[in-house]
Amino acid sequence: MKHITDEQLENDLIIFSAMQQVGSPGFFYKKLNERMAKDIISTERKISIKYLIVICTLTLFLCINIVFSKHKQTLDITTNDQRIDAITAAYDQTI
Amino acid sequence: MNEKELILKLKQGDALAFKKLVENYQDKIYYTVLNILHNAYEAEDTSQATFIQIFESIKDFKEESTLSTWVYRIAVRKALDKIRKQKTRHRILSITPWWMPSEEKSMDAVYLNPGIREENKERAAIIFKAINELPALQRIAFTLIRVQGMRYEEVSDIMNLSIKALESLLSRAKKNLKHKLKYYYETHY
Repeated sequence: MKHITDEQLENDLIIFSAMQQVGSPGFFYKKLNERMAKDIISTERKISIKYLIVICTLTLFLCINIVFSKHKQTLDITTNDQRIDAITAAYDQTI
Repeated sequence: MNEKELILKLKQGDALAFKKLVENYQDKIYYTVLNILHNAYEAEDTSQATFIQIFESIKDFKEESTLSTWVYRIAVRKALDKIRKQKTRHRILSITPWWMPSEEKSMDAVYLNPGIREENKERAAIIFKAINELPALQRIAFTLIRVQGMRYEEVSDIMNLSIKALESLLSRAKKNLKHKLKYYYETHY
């Protein structure tokens, strides 16, 4: 069974002192610029999609409101006094 | 152009100043991130993400530390995020092995640092594998100090830790590494 002591570990780690720095891959700045340009376009798209969602939600809300207000009008007509009177008269009753 | 002027121009959104910053730091950042992540593709991606983050948040840089420390801090944070994502992916992979089968191969691949001398490559691969298995913060502290040879003060600023906390992190990393290497020697020799 082999045990690792502090000394052995230090001996193993010596290899890093002779390690040479590795440079970044070629065209790093060019690739970075392209990625940044892509990011800007996608961010702009995201913003425009957000605006579109807001506009669609508001339009939908407006449509629902219009439909409900029309429905309310219909209810108003059905609860009209004249109509109730007519119905009660048909049954020969007075309110 | 000195550092103050460079920071001022960067804050004004000067494209040439940004190019200068990238030229000054791209090799250092790439090398650091490569040593932490042990994967050339991930290192390039993280280095690029670091510079994008610098470009976006330079206006918030309060100059309480040097530009170099701030740049390294962002790079280390990005590398840490990457390690955490890798670990989450690895956990998912262990639960559902049929999920992401191609990535399993890349995670198990042996890392050979191109900066290591030919005669040391085999030993370096074993050590890098052991470093790779350390908890994220221990791995970063150990890499910056023992692999890259950075100073304690520098690393404590980058990692936002006190010297004592850093020493403790490094001591735990060494202990874990000795255990992992011992296990390796037991099973392979």
